[in-house]
Amino acid sequence: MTEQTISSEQYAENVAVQLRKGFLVYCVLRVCSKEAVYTSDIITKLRQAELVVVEGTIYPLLSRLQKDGLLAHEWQESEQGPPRKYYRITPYGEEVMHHVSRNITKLTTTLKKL
Amino acid sequence: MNEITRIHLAKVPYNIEIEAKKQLQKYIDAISVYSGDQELAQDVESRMVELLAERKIAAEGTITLNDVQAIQAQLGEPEAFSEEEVIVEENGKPAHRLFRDTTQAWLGGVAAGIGRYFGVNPLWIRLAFIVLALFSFGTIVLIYVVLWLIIPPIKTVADILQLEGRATTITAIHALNEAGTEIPTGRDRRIARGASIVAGVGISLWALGLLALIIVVSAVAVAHHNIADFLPGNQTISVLVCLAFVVGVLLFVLLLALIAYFLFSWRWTKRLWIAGLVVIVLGLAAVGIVVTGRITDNAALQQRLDSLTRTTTTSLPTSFRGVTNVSINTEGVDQVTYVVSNRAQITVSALPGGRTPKVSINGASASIQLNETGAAYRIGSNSAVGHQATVTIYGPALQGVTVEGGVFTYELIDGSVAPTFTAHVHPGAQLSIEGGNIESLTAVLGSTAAFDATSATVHAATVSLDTGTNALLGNISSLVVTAPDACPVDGSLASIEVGGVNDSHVTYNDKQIAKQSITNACAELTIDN
Repeated sequence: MTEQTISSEQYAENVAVQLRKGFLVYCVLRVCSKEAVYTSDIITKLRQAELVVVEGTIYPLLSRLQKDGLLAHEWQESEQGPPRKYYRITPYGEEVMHHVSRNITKLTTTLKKL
Repeated sequence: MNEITRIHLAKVPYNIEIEAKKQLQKYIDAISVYSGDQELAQDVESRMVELLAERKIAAEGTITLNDVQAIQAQLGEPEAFSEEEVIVEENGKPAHRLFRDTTQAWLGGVAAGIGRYFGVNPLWIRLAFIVLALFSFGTIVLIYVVLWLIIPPIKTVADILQLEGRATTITAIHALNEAGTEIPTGRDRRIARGASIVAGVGISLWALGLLALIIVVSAVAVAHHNIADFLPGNQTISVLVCLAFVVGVLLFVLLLALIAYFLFSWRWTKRLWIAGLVVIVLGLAAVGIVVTGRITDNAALQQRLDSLTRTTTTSLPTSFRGVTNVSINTEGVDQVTYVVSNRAQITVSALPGGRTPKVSINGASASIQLNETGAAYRIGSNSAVGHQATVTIYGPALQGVTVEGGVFTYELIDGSVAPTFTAHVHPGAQLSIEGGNIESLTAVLGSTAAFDATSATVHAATVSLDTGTNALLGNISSLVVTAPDACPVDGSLASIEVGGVNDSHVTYNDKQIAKQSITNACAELTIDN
């Protein structure tokens, strides 16, 4: 017996949230791998790449990646307001990013074969 | 027009509508709870400053409800700031931290915070602080100020939950927000700063005053060479104790200076902690030296006095055996007792150098002068310590005693009967009668004289009182009291207390009245039963 308590769209959205979680990490690492970037720049870039993100979700993610040693931050003066935190990828983060990249390729290959 | 208040975001000051502030505060609180990360919350505040700047609101600009809503829309729901689905507890146990409860503060919120932390009504904590303040000569005020400075104030609604040791859940935060909990900001810190400067000035003055006092006292003591006089038992110990005392006071001054420095600088460094700790430990050591020194010195002094005390017994002339009335002055002697005995002698136990008692006999009357029988024990240049003298006179049973001054005890043989006994106690003197039976006792008491015959068995008593007299009698059969007519200006009553009277009547100022206790403006007669 199964019970359908939520709509199909809702269910699909939940699955997408799970998928996006890991994918978002990879995207953020990529954005930070080119140059040191500021939080709102990360969001802008992700939006330009048509990945819909709520700004709020980025903060805890950056915080975790930093704690795990994938990202490092530096302070830079800004013209107006307080100094800003700029994030840059660490060598360890770079390694992780390459591994994830390979995994994604494997996943897409799987998808194509199905 | 909405009411405007103040808010700081990432240390940038803004004006803000009250409604907008409530909502923004709630939002920030929720973010800090969901993220569980102080640094992240700061980053978010910095971001808010930028978003405001994009909306053309710079520092000192005014934030409206619209701006807050726009910020929320941009940043997303507080839940988005969570990595996991649910937050909150640290290692399964809600955090329990001490904060100053500025929402219920009288002063800095220390007592309110402590009360809330332990779940006690803050009034009890405040009462304890006030009582301690009275008994600790202000030290507790100092402790209060230090607590004020080192305990952080409540900054968010989440802090209130931590203070009470409750789990920091979103529901609890919403409940508190809906209850309209207002957290004072900024003002509290300014008041604390101002108060700490005032306290710093006060403590500096205290320290300077103490320093000046100890310098003056030390200088005077050294100039007069009378350090040893403070503690006459042992020279070496005396000097040590005096030094320790001075050092102790100086250390206390140093501690006050450290605290004052901290109150002005507002910085509590590790170096300051260590310095304070060292000063306190050394200070306690100094106090220990002073206390043990004093005890040792007292013991040494007592030993020295005991070893110096000499007991001499002098026989009185045989004519003393015929004496029936004695007049005595015992001033300057600790304990003088007349013991009814077959012997006629006088025993003096005193330090050497005192005068010998003078006894002159004139028929049935004798006069005994004991002035200065106990010598002053001198060490150094002046101070006198203890007239440690006791005198015991042995002689025949007497019919009358006159105490001219000092304290005197007349001791009858147990079971013996004296038909009459007359006691005259001069103003300020004291007489006790112990043992034996007295058929008829007459006591004439001067003002402020004390008379006690509770240890003797008395049948009929006739007592004449004066202002401030205090007379005590046991159970007697009949009582005649004469109380003064003139009332004392200072209100010291003439008083007589009697254990019990067998007769149904007593004579009071020549009138027969029913046995009863009487209190009037001049005198007080108490009959216990």
